[in-house]
Amino acid sequence: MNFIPAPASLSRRTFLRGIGVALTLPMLEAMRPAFTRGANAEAPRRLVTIQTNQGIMPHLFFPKGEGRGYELSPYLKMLEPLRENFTVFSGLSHPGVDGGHANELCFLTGAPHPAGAGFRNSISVDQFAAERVGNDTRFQSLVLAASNAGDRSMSFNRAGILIPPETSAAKLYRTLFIQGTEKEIASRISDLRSGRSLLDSVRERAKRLENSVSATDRSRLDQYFTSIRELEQQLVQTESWETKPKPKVAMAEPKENKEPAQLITRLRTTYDLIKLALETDSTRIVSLFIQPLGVLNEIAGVQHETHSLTHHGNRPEMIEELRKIEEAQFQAFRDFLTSLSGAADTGSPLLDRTAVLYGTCMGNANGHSNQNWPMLLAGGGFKHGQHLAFNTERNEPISKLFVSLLERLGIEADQFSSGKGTIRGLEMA
Amino acid sequence: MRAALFFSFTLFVFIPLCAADELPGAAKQFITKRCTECHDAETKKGGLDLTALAPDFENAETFARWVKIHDRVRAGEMPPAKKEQPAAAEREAMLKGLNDLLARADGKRQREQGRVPLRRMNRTEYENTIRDLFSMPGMLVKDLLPEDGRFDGFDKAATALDMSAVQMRKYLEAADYVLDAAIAHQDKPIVWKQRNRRIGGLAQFGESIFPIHKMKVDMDLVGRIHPPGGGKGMDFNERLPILQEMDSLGIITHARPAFTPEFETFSPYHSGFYRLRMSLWSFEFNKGEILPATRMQSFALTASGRLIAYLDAPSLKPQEHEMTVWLNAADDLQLNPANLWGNFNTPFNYEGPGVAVDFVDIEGPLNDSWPPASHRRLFGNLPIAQLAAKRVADATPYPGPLVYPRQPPIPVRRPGARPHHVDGAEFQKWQPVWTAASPRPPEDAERLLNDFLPRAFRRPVPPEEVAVYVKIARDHIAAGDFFETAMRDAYRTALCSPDFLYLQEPQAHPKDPTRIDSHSIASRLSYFIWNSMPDDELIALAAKNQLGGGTLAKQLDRMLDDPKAERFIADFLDQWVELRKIDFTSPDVKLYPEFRPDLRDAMLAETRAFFREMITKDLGVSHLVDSDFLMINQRLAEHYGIPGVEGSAIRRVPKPAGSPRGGLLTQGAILKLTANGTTTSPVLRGAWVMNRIIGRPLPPPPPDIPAVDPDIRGLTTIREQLDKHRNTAVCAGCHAKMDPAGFALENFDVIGAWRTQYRFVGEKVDDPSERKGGDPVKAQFLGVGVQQWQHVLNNVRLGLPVDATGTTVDGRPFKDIHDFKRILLADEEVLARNLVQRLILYATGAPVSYADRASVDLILQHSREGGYGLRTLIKEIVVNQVFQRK
Repeated sequence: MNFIPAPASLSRRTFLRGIGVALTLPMLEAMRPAFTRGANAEAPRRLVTIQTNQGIMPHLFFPKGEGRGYELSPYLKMLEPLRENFTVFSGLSHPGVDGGHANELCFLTGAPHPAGAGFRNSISVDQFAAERVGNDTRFQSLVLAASNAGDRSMSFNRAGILIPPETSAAKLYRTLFIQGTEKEIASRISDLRSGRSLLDSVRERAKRLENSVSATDRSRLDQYFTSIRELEQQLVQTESWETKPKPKVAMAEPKENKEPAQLITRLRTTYDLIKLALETDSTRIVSLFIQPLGVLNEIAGVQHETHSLTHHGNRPEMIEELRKIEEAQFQAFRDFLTSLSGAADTGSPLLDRTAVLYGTCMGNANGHSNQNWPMLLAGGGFKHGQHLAFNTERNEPISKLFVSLLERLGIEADQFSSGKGTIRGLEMA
Repeated sequence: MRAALFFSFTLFVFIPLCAADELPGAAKQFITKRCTECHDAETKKGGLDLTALAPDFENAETFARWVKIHDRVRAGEMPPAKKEQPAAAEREAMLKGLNDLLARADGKRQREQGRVPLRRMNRTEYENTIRDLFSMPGMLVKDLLPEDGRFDGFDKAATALDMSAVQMRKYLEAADYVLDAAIAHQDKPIVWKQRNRRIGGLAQFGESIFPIHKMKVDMDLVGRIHPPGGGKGMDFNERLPILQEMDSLGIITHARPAFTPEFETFSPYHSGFYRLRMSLWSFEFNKGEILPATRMQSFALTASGRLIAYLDAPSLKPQEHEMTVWLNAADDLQLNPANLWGNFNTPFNYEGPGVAVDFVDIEGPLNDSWPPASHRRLFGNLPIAQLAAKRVADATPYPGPLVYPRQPPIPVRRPGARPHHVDGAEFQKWQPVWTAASPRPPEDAERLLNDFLPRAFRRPVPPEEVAVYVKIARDHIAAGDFFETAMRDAYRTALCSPDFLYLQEPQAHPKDPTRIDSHSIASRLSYFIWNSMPDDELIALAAKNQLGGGTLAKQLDRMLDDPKAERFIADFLDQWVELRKIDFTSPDVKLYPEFRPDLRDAMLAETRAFFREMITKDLGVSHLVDSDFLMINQRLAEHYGIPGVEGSAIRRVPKPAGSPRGGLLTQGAILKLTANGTTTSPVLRGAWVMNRIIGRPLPPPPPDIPAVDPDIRGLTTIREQLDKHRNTAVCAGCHAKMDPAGFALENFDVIGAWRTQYRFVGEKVDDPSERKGGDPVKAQFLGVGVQQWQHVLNNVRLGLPVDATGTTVDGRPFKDIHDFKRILLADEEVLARNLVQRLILYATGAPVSYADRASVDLILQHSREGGYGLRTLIKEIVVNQVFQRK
């Protein structure tokens, strides 16, 4: 590659500033699946995965009764108008995924014993799907977080490395919908090219280095090579999208909001943007990690820190306060689902082609139980309206549900993590 | 994992064919005679079939199983107690035979592959390296990088430090961020020098803050700041002179909603060193009357939430504090009364402690020269020139559109923050672009890179490698780019190259392939003790190949005595005893209202100071369990119930007789981080002690076991709740090992205070006589006001008594923590071995493997005499081959 770019295009913007950090982009050409959207292909299918990491109180979530005739629990009651659009599960978890809060990083991966000494994570189901069906959109996937506690996501790449999330709705909006001036585009493109030439130089160096190191070290260097190659591909892809117009939306750019107390407000804005991202086919795969920590006192009646409320020790006033926090999240979630069911997508509601998985891997936060997760699945082209009850003591691997989701996306995967085959009782619509 | 629980060897059964046939005689006999009754193809107890387990030591998994077999026989856990026990000689012979094989196999692996694969810097090391390379000691860059993987809690382990496209992308961004901060873009800094009188916003003036004049609240001055009618049209500058009239500013609340104790309007425009001087004192307040303080108060000085220092404020007598600190551009400075509670009362009805500020002087940035050191690292002594729209080299106009060198984003500061660019007299409205100017760009590029690259890469860089970077710069220069632009690209490439990002450890000599060269030793040392790159002295010694023998020991002493060693102390403790988890849970505010930032900060400081004392004085590992001194300050002394300690500085204090404190184990930070905020769990605390202190981690619970659902309504104790669970057969084995330590620590609550009764949350009552349980002791709730105390009495009730008795797994009973400490102290080698293993992992980037056990034994042997002094242990590790070899 010719290193010297034309002086006119040399600009000093932050490298990649324009594309946002949380957006993973299409990877290797070779990884493109056989499945691509042909001329007469049906509308795309999508997957949204959501985890709220401080648990959902089981006694308010799990319904009584099984199958279609189940009785709505207090939380599910809030979703009543959508009853035929979702399935509620009990008795699901990842086998061997323990360690209290540590397991939240394995929600989408199923890698066992996250608190163990030699733990390594594995690819998350959203990234697995994104590698296979994410290549036709501007963003292979969106990795998002609504959080008061740092910059974690629940998405991991093939090497088991965490993909940092976008936590700012304002930045997400700009990334998705603001094109910038011609000059800005040119400057971004020149940044991308200068990034590529940098990668070229360091690759050459690593090659020279390879000759002088041991076999074990060479395998570590291989990681470096792979990283460079993948990043180069991403930069090329970004560049090819850079000149294509971004979709225009009616929603105005949201204000930057970093107020910890307003987590629910931020969550709602994020949901609005996810809906727009799907509607404009900017991406088809989204993961959203909710960490409702801090004192969320924008919710009426809440004045204590969420995590300490989850260790309520069965004290009624703490349970009552925690309930308000969980209800606020369910309201936001309900409004999100409602907006998806109202948005049209080549004829049918967007929700019908968008699977939305919602839940927590904290079965009971009071005791840090990692069993029997409160989970529900909405939309996505399944037969819903039921409670699929599995054994609450000997849980069914939730990865089986992941296999079902992958299958629905058109991805042939007999197995994901510990899940072999699809989940019993969930049929495609 | 579960296999380990049910491992069981047993008496002989004749097995004609055994996979262990290839083992040496003694081991083979032992196994066929004592193990295969249970561990055969048929019974396969614990999932182990010794008739099928081939001694295939090249297979990592099989190797690990054999190690486990060896270790369980050595520990006397196998054959199990209920079976006939082998004679000592028989056991020894079996162990020796197996040990020889295992050590040989692992030694071979190490010789061929090395102990430690090529290691990437973790993000803490990256940040420190950047700080040292550019002399920007407060630079924050760690959070730009993704969180690193961990092995055994350590982000130093090479195999956990992977690379990926995500990581690579972040390195590119971080490099730009670093260069933005390092390069100067002005010909001179905006220097700020001012005396501030006010902490907190004017809206609170007369309420949480008020003027003191002649030791009285000066309400007249309040009236002039807030004149009747709201003082319309009065702006900040009119109020300033009025503020100058007061003697001191009184403050009667900790930071709380609607009161931020910020520094008037100051926020640094440039990163750099600033001199702060302030005068502080304290008082007891009684509705307008200023009386002598009942306790020494203190302030917490923070910059954007980062703690800079605690500053004492003695009773009625101002104390001046002066310090030079690094501040980052746009930092938000706060001076928060550390020991006061959030209080909404006004001076008219407040009774309780208060603090006062006479003045706060700020001056900076303090640069001995400009441009700052970070800029000089990149551009040497080249002058900074105002940019003209022409080529620097030959004064011809630019051919195309002009592209200026990249300008960093202007720091986003608090609205109204000063210094502002309008404050600087010489600061013009239209700011020109300034850049490093070179009279001979191609030559300067080569000269600067020749200086920079060996520093950044921490070893000599051959000319052909320097040439690569010189070419990058020269290509830009040839294309007509500004010199800064050209150099910046070369530097950015260097900061993303494997030479910077990885710790390379080439061999010293082809004849001794696993011995690493002297530059690698220098780096190992500095990344161990300073968590960063080597300094000039180390590099110079490495270049002369003199980092051995007495010099090595001398260098280690120098490094341990350097303030940068605090990085090792903080980082190692963060990982080994998991201090990084101190904020993982927040104690229930109702039950533990006394847990406030001053206490939390003191806890961290205690544990670090204690470890520092162990290193300085070479104290033995028994200090992990007990000591005859404490490293505490006033707040901790109050927390621990020790009289006579005044002030926020941590100092060495003799331990009072009978105190349950002393040692690392019973320090507040440790007890806090092993509890969940609301309750303590003997299981979690016990498992923690077994793993982090004893070095015998227990497997995770088997699946399908329901967790205990804690209940803190005061009706049952955690021990009662646990009993049901730990008495079941599946659970008992492990719980017998881990719970005892937890039981012994039950006398310490979730914030590490001593308790004999459990706290529970009381219900709201109208009549105090209706309160259930006992009253808490007021002295524990430092700084609580009269009105607040009523709430505390309602909320915090004392209930069931604590039972801290137990029996260790080998049958030794204890009645409390004092007893339990004695039991732990009986075997110092266990403590030392664990600490050495964790130190080796931290220092070398790889865990202790089987072949390293001989090294560990040697280190222990050499340090036994002094009771395994911490400094000695570190020294013995550094001179050991485990540290000297790849």
